[in-house]
Amino acid sequence: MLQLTINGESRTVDADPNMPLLWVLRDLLQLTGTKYGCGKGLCGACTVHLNGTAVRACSLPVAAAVGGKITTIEGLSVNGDHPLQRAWTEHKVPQCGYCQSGQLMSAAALLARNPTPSAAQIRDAMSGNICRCGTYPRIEAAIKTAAGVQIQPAQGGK
Amino acid sequence: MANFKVVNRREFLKLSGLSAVGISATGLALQASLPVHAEWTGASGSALSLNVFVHIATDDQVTIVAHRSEMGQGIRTGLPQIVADELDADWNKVNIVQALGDKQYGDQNTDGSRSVVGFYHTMREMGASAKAMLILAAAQAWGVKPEECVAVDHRVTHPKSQRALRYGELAERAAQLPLPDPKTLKYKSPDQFKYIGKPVPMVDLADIVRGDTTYGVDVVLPDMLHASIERCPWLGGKIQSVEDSAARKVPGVVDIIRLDGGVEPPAFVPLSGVAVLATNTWSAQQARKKLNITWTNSGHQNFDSEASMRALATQLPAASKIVRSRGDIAKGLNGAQQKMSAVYTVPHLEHATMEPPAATARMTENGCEVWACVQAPQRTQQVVAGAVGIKPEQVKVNVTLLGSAFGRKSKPDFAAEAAFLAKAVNRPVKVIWSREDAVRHGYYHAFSVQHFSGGLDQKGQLIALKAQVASPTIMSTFAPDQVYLQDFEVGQGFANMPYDIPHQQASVHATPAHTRIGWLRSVYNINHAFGVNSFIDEAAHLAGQDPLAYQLAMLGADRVVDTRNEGFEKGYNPEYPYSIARMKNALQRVKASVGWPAKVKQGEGWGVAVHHSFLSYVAVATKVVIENNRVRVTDVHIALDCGQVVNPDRVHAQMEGAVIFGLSLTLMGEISFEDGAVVQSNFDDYPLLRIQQSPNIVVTLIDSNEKHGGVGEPGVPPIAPSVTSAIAAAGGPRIRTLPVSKQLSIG
Ligand code: FES
Ligand code: FES
Repeated sequence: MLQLTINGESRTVDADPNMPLLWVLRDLLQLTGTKYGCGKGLCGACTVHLNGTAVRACSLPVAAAVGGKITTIEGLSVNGDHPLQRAWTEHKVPQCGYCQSGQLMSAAALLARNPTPSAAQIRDAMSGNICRCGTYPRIEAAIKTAAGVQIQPAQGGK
Repeated sequence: MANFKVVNRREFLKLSGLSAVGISATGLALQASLPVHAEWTGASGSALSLNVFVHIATDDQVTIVAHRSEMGQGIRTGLPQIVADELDADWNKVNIVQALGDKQYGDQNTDGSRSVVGFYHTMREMGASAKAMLILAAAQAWGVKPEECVAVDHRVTHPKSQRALRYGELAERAAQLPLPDPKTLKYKSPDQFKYIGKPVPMVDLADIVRGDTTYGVDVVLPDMLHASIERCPWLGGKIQSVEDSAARKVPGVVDIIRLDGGVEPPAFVPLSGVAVLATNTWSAQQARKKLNITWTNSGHQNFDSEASMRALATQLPAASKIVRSRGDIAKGLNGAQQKMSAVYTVPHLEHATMEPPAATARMTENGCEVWACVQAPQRTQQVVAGAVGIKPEQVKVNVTLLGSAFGRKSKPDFAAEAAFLAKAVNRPVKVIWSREDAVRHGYYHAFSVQHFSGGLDQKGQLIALKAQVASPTIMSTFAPDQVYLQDFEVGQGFANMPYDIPHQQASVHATPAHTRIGWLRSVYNINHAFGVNSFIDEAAHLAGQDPLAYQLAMLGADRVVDTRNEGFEKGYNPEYPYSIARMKNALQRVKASVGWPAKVKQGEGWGVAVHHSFLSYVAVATKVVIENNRVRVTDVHIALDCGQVVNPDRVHAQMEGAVIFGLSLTLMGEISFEDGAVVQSNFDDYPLLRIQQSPNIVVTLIDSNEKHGGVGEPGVPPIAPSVTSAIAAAGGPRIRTLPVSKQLSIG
């Protein structure tokens, strides 16, 4: 049995310690907001926060997350009102939406450590997140919008 | 408006003589079985039988059925937006529900950029019909003539007596009424539109940003098993033997099941494979690695795509058919002042949907129920029925959101796998393809080798153009011995080239397929737009003329492209004439957007291309910068004429997406085969454009009163030739073989 802290809640799972956090979240805890895209750390669809840092859940053995604070898209904000979520809505960023949980989590980690990133810093921080639909121009614009907004610390939700 | 009296529900019930008993809160179907509609020309299938798109609950909620699949194009918003407008519904009181796969909705096959093209009028009719019933219900309740009543903002009012009833209050009575004769329906004029033509946000937007949506991969059923399937690397191979004892020992594994496929032509039947079923995805994936499978050989096992394309570039097979002929090609070429020739090659491509194929199925008392990210739910009913031996009507298909699709998800082989396995283990089963599965077992975009020869007159104008293509046909996936491109394939910009060139000939050359060939966003237009635009650009350079001015000159006088007298019967569509004026206008608009010819520095260059597809017209101008053999695309201007527009914001988004999609395939997209198997496996060797490579994109949406054209696909084809022409203009090599990354590094 492994003890995890996810979105401020304590969860116990019966998982192989090598099982990637992604499948623990999705299959064992039914937190399906975190997506599978490549399984190899290449696309960013599975991005979550571990102690506030963006990590690829597909490539992180669950054992490595024990004792840390995990935040998923479901816990990014209480009411879907993180400044990035508001900016995403304002710029109508998503197309199919599939990559967007990962995009938001990467962007949130960026703004948490650098509240006013330059365009180059945005692109650098987001370079690991693929969007097949091609929402990059709006992602960049939305991050710039959100960067002008006061960031509330992410709280455990749901 | 403020002095209209809103009658509350109790008063309405009194007025209408209905008792409160028996009023349910559930939606009342306005059974709109309107007459048969002719489907969009070129679409498959027969007539539509329409009904039940609009429901109104007594609490005022309007439910509109979205019957086409949402894959990021915004159709779950766009079509209901049309219904709500004609219905005069308040968008804030509208719910959208996704239709099951069901013939009653008409064509649900969401591909070919034709949802709005095919359903704009039907959706208006659904809204107008429902509104007419609500008006009649109110008129009857008040004992007045319906002509004296008007619908406005979710209510019917009677201005003379200043009475009003909310839609919810009218729903019960309206649902009892017969359907109005469609000929009697009244429609809004465009100046009365409230939602059509407006940038209504996607209905799923709020849920998407909270991660609270259901895609195909997200479905969870009680007692469900997770399947991971090892499939035969080459087409047509069957299972010879399976050694699975080590796999069975992996904790979490419940069963291992053979899928005995390998049929040819492959159609939508699952490939040969061995499925590991486990209590979680990870266990299934781990155990799969321990399978030891031998596969039988097939006729495709020696397929080497690079060698095949190289051979076709050197020498085309003699077996061929002329698909268009105008003037006298031999005379035209012989009489030319200057001659030129070139060979253009596009490799196989894979859709790389962000969400891989995924489906969940369970057997039920009456048949089978499936949840899947499918573009074609009715086809899914048929294919699943075939896989488990029941009738299509016994298959219930729930369509999830699609985490992008691009044509891959209109092939429901993955849903058939889930259903087959669910039946075999008698438990619900979810199948998720890994990225490697998706890259290696797709329905691939057809490679293409095009030979062009041309002749220029003394003024540098092309007077002769001979085009020959070798490319496998999509038909090979569905019928044996298909080696020639079909009319619908050469009609995508090859046999219907728009240029005003007196001597032209186009031919197709026998090209067998060695994999499943399928349609991928924009389909053969990608290949043909690349070939013909590149050749026109090369001719402009040879003639020493400005490429954009040359494009305009070669398109010639305003006219309609009509190839019926030139051997290509399908090259004319009376409903949607292929207009040279619109083609040139798109070029003019992109010219204005760029300020062409723009000033450039050393190592910079602009390229331009124009293409007509899916009833729309798109011109693209692209700027690149080349430094030390490294190319970076910095700016892309795209001008679209798709006729009238339902949701301009989503059309903009589709153009932005088309640019990125087009750049991925142009710069770095390549699926290759060795020994019959796909070489690539994941985003490391099948890369997609990333944010730091994303250019500045400028979209021009051309105002038009023409009929609706397609939006999802037409933006892609001109991207590749605009990039390669820009590279040549910047002093780089003329790239005739895609992707660009074979010759330059990508910045
Ligand atoms: S699924 Fe984790 S990076 Fe792609
Ligand atoms: S919105 Fe579809 S992959 Fe990003």
